[in-house]
Amino acid sequence: MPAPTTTPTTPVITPGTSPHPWQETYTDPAEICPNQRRETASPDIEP
Amino acid sequence: MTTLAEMRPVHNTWVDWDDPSPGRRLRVFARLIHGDTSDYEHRVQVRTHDGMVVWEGDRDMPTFAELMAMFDGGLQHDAFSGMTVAGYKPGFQTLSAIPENRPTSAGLHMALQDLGDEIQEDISEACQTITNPGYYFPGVPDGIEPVSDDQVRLVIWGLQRVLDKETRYHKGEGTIAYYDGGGLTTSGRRPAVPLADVLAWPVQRAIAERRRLRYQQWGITRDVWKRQTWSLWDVPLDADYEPRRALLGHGRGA
Repeated sequence: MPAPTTTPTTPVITPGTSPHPWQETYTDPAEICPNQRRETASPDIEP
Repeated sequence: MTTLAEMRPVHNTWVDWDDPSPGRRLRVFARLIHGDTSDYEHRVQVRTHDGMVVWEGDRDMPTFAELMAMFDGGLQHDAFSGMTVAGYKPGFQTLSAIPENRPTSAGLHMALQDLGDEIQEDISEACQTITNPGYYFPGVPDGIEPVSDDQVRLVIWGLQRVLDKETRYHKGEGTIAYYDGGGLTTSGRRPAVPLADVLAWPVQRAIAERRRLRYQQWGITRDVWKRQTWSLWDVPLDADYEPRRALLGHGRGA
């Protein structure tokens, strides 16, 4: 008799239904000011 | 809505950061000039950031699109070449490895705002994987030179050092917050996303690959970057390009 098998499942949380969207924990990089957005591009580091 | 192609430079006023008009090169060009008036009455001028007069006339100011077409191949062509990739910052130097100290970066040239914004949108999108591990955030398999693991680590380090400088309230909770060391404060500011800690390696790699692609999309290849100068005329015209920032409603209180 074959051993019982279990099917691994990966919980998938779809956008909008997550109980704790990441923006509730961290600052959204898209919301920082224009100067910082240009600075984040880090022109001192090779593309 | 009047688009940049139809707008005319306004006296001493720069184009709004969040203007949603299409046109990759046109959007860059519009941030390189502004209107002015000459010492003679009834004459109008167009000046660059450093004050150079690139057009003067006594008739109505041309539109941004007309000016760009006029300058492309004209005498003023070189006024829009050889600009520095980074804005001026004393002691600016390029980095090839993560340094022991923590030098701040200069920002991109002001006219490359869209490039900076697209990189931010990529980081923001990558963060979807924090609360939605099934979110698909692909890198760039073709069209760029391969990115080494060391380069991925250097890029993530570079992004993080700037993100750590500015924290914000959650939307609707308040206004701009100031640097407080990066921690979540009792005032409700959100700390910066610790990219290396919360993003899976393939996501970090995808950010670095997309960043290389973004620079390329604005005409800044690795060779151009090594020279640290860029040209408006190397930015593709790409008349249909619309910034994701505008499409997603970021920056407009959405």
